[in-house]
Amino acid sequence: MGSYFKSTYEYTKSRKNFGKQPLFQNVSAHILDSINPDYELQKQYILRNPVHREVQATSPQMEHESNTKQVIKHEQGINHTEGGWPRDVHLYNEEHILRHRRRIQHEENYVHSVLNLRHSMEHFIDQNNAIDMYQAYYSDMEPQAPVEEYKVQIANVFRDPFLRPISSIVWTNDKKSKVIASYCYKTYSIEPDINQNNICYVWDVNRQTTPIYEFSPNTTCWQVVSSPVESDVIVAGLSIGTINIFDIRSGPKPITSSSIYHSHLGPITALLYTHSRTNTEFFTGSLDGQCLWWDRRNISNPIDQLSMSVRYPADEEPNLTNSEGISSLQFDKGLPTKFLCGTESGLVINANRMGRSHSEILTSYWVAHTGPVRSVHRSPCTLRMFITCGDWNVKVWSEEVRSAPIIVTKPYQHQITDVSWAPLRYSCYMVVAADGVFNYWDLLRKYKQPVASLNISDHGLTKVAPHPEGESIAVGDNYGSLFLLHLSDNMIYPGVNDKQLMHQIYERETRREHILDARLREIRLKARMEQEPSIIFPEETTDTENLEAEEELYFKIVKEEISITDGVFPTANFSAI
Amino acid sequence: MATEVEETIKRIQAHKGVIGVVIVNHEGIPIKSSLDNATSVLYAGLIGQLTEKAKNVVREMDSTNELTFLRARSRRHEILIAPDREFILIVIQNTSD
Repeated sequence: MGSYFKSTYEYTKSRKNFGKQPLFQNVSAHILDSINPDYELQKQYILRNPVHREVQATSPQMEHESNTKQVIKHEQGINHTEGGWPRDVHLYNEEHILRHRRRIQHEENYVHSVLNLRHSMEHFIDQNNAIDMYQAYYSDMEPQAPVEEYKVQIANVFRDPFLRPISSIVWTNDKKSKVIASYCYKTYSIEPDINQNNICYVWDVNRQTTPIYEFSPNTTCWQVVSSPVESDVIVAGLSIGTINIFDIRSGPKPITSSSIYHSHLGPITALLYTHSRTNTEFFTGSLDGQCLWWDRRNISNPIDQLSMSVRYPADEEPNLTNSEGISSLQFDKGLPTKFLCGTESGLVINANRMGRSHSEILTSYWVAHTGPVRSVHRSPCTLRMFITCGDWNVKVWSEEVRSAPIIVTKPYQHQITDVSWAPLRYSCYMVVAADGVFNYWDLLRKYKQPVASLNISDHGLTKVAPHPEGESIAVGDNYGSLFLLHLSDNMIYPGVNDKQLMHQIYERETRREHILDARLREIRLKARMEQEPSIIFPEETTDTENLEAEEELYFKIVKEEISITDGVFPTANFSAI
Repeated sequence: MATEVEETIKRIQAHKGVIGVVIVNHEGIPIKSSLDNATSVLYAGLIGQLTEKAKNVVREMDSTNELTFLRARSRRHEILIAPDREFILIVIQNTSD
């Protein structure tokens, strides 16, 4: 940058040349010039119309840029290898270092410290040498199989002040489950008002003295169910066949109830939620023999209806006159279109909602008990196995076997009122009977008697409902007491191989029944053939191509006869068979 | 007395499994070591910091308590650290027995 020169130019001017001071004087007005308008010129102009004019109305603003001072950053690492030496000792000077070290070694402090520390140090060194402290001891020993101790205890009792028998128990589906219990006398009695009181309770497991909520349906409540998603909604089925829906938050009175003209004609004996996208649909079964499907949001009319007729003469249509009264229903989310129905006449009907004709819907039935089937449940282990209870028996059935139950236990001395599978443990189920005894069976451990049994009440027990996580069981009896049972851990959680073993049991028993069934059929066939041999044979030999098949059949029948008559005929050489 | 110290250190070294002994002062300088300089300096710096931290931990949990011994066990060997007011005695011992 060059140097800056100041450029100046100096000049002088005398004052008298600046000019004289202007002196103003008043002059009267006089025309200096007059220019007249020239109309010729005006013709050269036109009025400008329209005139475009831009106007901007803004506040006066100004722009100014500014920036903070830039901080220039730079990252750099430092490698600190050695330090701590006092200032006068240079690292690179070996002698300095040595001297410093020696100086420290001669200090009192140093000697004391080292002599003090060496004790503990030597102790730990020896300890390390002696034994490996940190190894996993007993890791190669085999774990002992746990001792299985079965314990059932009554944890709590919730009493009904009016001592009515419990008609239905259900656990709510929220995290801190509550028990909903409904009470009623399930008899058609001549005295009009044996059911004076319709109040039903919701109990909290921890509060024994009073229920946390009460709700009162319009008449006596036979069944209760709690919504799977909304824990405050309770649906109750009544003895007159209608449904009442309660919301606990709003109060003890029902928020809606179905119209008596569009509901069941008899008391509702079963009520369950079905699988639907909105989780608001449920279905009910009643002693009048029909199943109705409802949507909770609008119960003025049922969505669907099905009459449970399986045994009716061929010339009649299925309707309510030939249908069987329903005493229990079972629905599982795993099979969303099928359900099982236990009837008053002791049948269990397998129903498929996706069938097109009535016979496709009610596909098949089993003759289960000699009285109403009080309870039907599918096994959590395999859905093709289900358990039923009624009269004095509890039977386990397989869907594949039509003729007989696959597992039967000895009949009880008293009537069985309810049965339920243990929710998590695949091989167990629990039974309550009219003598007040709670029995817990484990099919894998003991086949002939219950693994645990407890006399809970002096009066008959009516219902059993295990909590879905299996730890608590709610049992209701005839005098309004709701017992809460706690089971020991080995009754709740399955063993390691339980599921496999249970499947094996199922397969084995099903196969046994199949074989027995086939054998029975053979015997019957043979018996029929003995009666009318001339008629049957020509029918069978119509197709000459199946001569060999006929031969085989013939020889098989002959062989059976021989085995029955125990070898009276000489056994020839049936190597062709 | 200085000879006693020497003797002590030799004794410790003679124990079964001991790889090395280092004595560090509070400034992080290895005063006496049976290992080479580079390793000693490494141990001195790192273990000094570890000991400080451990001491703080024990003190903060309970102000009347103090750290008496620290062991760092690794797969190959174990570092035994005995702290003192001014000095730290470090012994490295083999554990694979």
